Amino acid sequence: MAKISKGVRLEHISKIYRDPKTGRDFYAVRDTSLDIEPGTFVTLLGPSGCGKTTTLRMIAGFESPDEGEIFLGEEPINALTPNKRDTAMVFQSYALFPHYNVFDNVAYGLRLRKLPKAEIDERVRRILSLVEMEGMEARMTNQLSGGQQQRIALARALVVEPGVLLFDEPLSNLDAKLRVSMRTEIRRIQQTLGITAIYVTHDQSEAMSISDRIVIMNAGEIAQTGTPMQIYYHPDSAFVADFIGEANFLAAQVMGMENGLCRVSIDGREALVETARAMEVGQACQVVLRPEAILIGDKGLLPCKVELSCFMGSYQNYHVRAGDTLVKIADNCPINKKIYRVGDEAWIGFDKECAHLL
Amino acid sequence: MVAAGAQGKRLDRRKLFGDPIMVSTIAVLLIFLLLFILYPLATLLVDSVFSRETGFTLDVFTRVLSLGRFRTAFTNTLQLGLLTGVFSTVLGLMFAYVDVYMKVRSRVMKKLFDVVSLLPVVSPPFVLSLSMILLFGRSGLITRTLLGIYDSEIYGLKGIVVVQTLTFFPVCYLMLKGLLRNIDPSLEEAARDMGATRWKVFTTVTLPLLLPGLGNAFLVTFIESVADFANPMLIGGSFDTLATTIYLQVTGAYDKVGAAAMAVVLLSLTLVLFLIQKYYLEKRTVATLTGKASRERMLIADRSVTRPLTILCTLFSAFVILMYVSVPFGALFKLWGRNYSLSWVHFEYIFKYGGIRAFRDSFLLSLIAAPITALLSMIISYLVVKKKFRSKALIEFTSMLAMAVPGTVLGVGYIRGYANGIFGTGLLQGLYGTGLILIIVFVVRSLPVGTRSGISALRQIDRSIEESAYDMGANSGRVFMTVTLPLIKDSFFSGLVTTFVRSITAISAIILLVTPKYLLITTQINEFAEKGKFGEACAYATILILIVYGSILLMNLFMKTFGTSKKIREAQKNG
Amino acid sequence: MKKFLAMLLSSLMVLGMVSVAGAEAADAIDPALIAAAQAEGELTVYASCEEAYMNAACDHFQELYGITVNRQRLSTGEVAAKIEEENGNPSADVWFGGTTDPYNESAAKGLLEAYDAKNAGHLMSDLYRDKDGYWYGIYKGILGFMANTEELQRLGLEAPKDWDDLIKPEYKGLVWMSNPNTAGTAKLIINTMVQMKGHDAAMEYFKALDQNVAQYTKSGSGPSKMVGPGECVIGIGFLHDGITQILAGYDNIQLILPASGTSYEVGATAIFKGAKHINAARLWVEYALSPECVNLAKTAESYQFLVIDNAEQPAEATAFGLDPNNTINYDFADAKANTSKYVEDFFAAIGAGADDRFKTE
Repeated sequence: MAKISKGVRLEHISKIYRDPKTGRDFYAVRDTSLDIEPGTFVTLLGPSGCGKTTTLRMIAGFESPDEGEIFLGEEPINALTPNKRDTAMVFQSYALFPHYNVFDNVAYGLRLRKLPKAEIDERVRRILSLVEMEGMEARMTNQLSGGQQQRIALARALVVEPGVLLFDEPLSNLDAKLRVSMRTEIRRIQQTLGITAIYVTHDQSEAMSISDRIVIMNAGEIAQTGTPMQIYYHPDSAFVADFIGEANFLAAQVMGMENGLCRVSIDGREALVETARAMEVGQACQVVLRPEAILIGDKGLLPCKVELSCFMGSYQNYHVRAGDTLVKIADNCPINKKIYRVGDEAWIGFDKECAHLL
Repeated sequence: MVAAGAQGKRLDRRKLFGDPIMVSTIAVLLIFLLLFILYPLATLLVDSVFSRETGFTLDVFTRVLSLGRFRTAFTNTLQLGLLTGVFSTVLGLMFAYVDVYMKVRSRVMKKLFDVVSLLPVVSPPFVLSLSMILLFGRSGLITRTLLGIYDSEIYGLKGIVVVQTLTFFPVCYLMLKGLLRNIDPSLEEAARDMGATRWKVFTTVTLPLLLPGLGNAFLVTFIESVADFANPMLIGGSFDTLATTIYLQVTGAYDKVGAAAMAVVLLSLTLVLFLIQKYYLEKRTVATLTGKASRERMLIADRSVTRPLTILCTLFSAFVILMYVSVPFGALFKLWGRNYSLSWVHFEYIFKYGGIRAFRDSFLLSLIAAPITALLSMIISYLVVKKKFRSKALIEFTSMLAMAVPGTVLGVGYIRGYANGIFGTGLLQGLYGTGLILIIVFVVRSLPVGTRSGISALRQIDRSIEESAYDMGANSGRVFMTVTLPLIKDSFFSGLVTTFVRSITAISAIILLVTPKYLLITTQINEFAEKGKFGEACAYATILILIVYGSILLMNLFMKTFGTSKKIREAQKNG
Repeated sequence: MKKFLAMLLSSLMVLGMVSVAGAEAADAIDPALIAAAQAEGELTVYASCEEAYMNAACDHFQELYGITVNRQRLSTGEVAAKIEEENGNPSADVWFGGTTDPYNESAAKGLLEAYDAKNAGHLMSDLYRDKDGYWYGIYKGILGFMANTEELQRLGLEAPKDWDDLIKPEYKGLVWMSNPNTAGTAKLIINTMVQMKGHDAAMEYFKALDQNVAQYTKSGSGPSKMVGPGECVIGIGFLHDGITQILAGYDNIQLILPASGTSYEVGATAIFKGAKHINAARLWVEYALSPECVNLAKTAESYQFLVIDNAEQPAEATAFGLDPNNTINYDFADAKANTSKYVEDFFAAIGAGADDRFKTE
């Protein structure tokens, strides 16, 4: 790739829509700031309606921000129309031109740039080989499988060498297996080219596997930004914790700080938990525990009663009740372990590194 | 938040203005719609309540409303619309019910249904009136020659209702057929299962579900009937409707201001009906009949039900076809009613006296109007479906408004609006009396049809297809030409042919605007029919039918060969 | 289809031959006028004669002089109203055909342009020209009745012989007349009755006649057209229109000259004041007063008597025994002065305000 990819900076971006039913205005995106380094793969992740697609479309230029400014590299681009922005988008529905064949689809952007025919041929061929679609030039798009169409859509976006590549849930129309292989593919190509990519999805495993950084959005605002691991193990909020993977929340009270660890009391039983921030003694808090981080056994921290026990293959899934709280547990490799039945009494516990305090 | 919302709007606007093709297109469109739809209609309103001498006045309305002729015309119009609306809806329902619900053994019948539903589309407006006169008039083949009835009186309400019903019921049939297909058979099966008779099911389940749809069909027919000019003109006899009275007020009484006031009345009538139809009934129809039928319907095979209904429909279809067939024969018989030997005299006559001119002019003007309309309506639908900008609602409403404007009203509007230039200033006066104004009328008259088909075609296209082209650097003109238009090619071509057909068969607005420079087929037919030269009128009509049918065949052939919609549909399915 | 094409071609050829034959005879007209007219290149005609005659005359003019002729058929009333509204800025150059009463009205309003036509010397009488040169006569048509003999026989009725027969009760609903608002023919009927019976008696007459009239048509030839097909049983109009119908195959039409006398129309041609192509318009008038033009009438199914001495009278008209001299001494001056008033009186007499028999289409 000849061109250097660009960073994207959002400064206090907001987008206001009118609800057609109530006629009232609401923020689809609210006061969002984000700095995306050139060459990184950033995923906007969130439930539907969180504003992630709106944000992406504002970067592409299809929507105009009502507040704030968007920069592409150092250039403010608020007033630029989509065709004047150095971005290329891969759409959820692929958006291939049904009246063109594969070659013409990929060559579309190059022809707009009035490149010489030989160069167009050369670049299309190169990009088709990158997405492993060589030899398909003459096919009509409706003769391709979903995965192939996705590759062509990607090729079409890549061939114009955009400063930023935008993905709007590109894999959601594919079946589960293909989704996994395609995301690996997208990541490979992105890393090969070193291109900046902004990727919208609601699928957390996709986000985890593909991204350098994940931006979790909720109700129009950024809930947390970080690497996949930071987000998973150190969610900033109950929303993030719950949204990324499954989480159990145990109500607790801070007893005191010890060597950077926090001593909390859960149902009157004390435990040490890692924490990123200092907590005040007596403060109410929540211990966040991933299902796979909870140990179930004949002894432990808290007594519980099994309400559901279900074999899932790679793990045994339990729902147990500890006090009033329902706790979900994924007990990995159950083959060598004791299986508890519904109605059994048991104990749960956790390692302090695996718990997180909110 | 209000101030904040303004930035997005401002940016949207800046982006819009950053796209000169888009801006100029919108500007041109707005000017076109304002000048040729809104302005003439506004002129009528102003004309009828404002005079240069006295300022605002209701005198014209008072005068017109007190005219006996006008009052009769008004009640006549309502009566006609009501009768035609009811009959067409009932007939349409019967045909649709037989088509969708009954096991019809013969393939001939299905074919017959297709033909009957196509005929009114391809035939010029007078054809049925002509054949009505030929078959049932004083010297009618059926009334006089076969039945020996000498004082058959078809001129008047009776005749118009028959002719209009035959013309408009296929529209109802097609509308209702679509709706009946959408009724989930399990609803009716549930009622049957609980012990209801077929009739009970029809009256308690099918009919109530269909009710908004029936209302919709009724209103659409009502509007068409009220706006119809050609049929009341030809066989109305002394039964004048608003449309013909307006025409007479202009050409007979030379009272253009009075005509303007009458036109305002007619326009208000159709507009109210149109608004009810469009914004209330159409929505209700969709609301009650959502989605597709879940599976195939068990067709009624009970002979005691199917036989009488199919026989009725077959007879009726045969009658309709007989009506259409009698026109070419009217052209070929030497002297209808007296001498039934075959001869070319009528064709020779029309070609000796101006026939070539009439065909050339009609053909040429319609041919020019067709691509303009097709392109304009595609652009309008593109803007309406895919773009956001401030005047969008205005553009959409105005282009649809033309649907509710009777041709006669538009014609008077153009006379009032352009005879002395815009606002009487002499500006654009040159337009009046030229072929250009005829072309513009053709365009305006067909715009709503094309736009409607364009909108529904565009709604089926994934928005992101165009966005991706835009995103890759194409400006909006480029996107439209390289992506949108190829994808709605079918709709474009059908718009092309529809406009051509509608234009070459148009009469209502045109008859008020035609000038010595142009001789049009339809006005010739009107002229000849009015003078009792039915052979010549039929000869013109026959050739016109051939032209129209030929263009439709050509279109179908073309779409089969080059059509894109099939490809797109497949692509959408895979995607 | 082939046959149809062949027919089309042959009819085109016929048209072509007519024009070639005509071109040789066009010698009597001032070449300077022709040149000036040709420089204008275009002419617009409003014709109140039959469509066929209009097209034949216009096409021939076009062939002779290479001047494009735009044309539109309009009733005399429509033309009169149109040029009145256009008031000196007419949308056409000349008026061709139709009875002279509306011509006189328009001339009185200053909407016609006087012209001293050279070919007017061939006019058989001064009755066929306006003394100031506003219009010139081109043909003469006899007013009378046309009756459908089959219908009469079926109804067991005698054909009417005179004006007064028309108001007999047995003809109720059988008589058609034209509408004086639009048709010059009807104005002539009114004037004729006024001149034959006196004003008040005439109005009484129309009041009685109105009881029998089924329809008042827009065009003067309307009633004659409907007699043959049987839509109308007795039509009042010009007998040459009846001849056209008979020759078209309606042998059930009987032509009747009113016994107590009748009047005739003079079909005219005139130039509109403010005509855009004034020389072409003058050339048209010369042309219209020449055999070149008027001899075309009978080929285009118009069988009026011609009023220039060098034209060939239509044998068809004389064959039906329509004596062109059996007419009253029509008072053109009175017609010129009072037609508008008489028409108003007519409507007042029959109380037509809410009457829907009046066809203006």
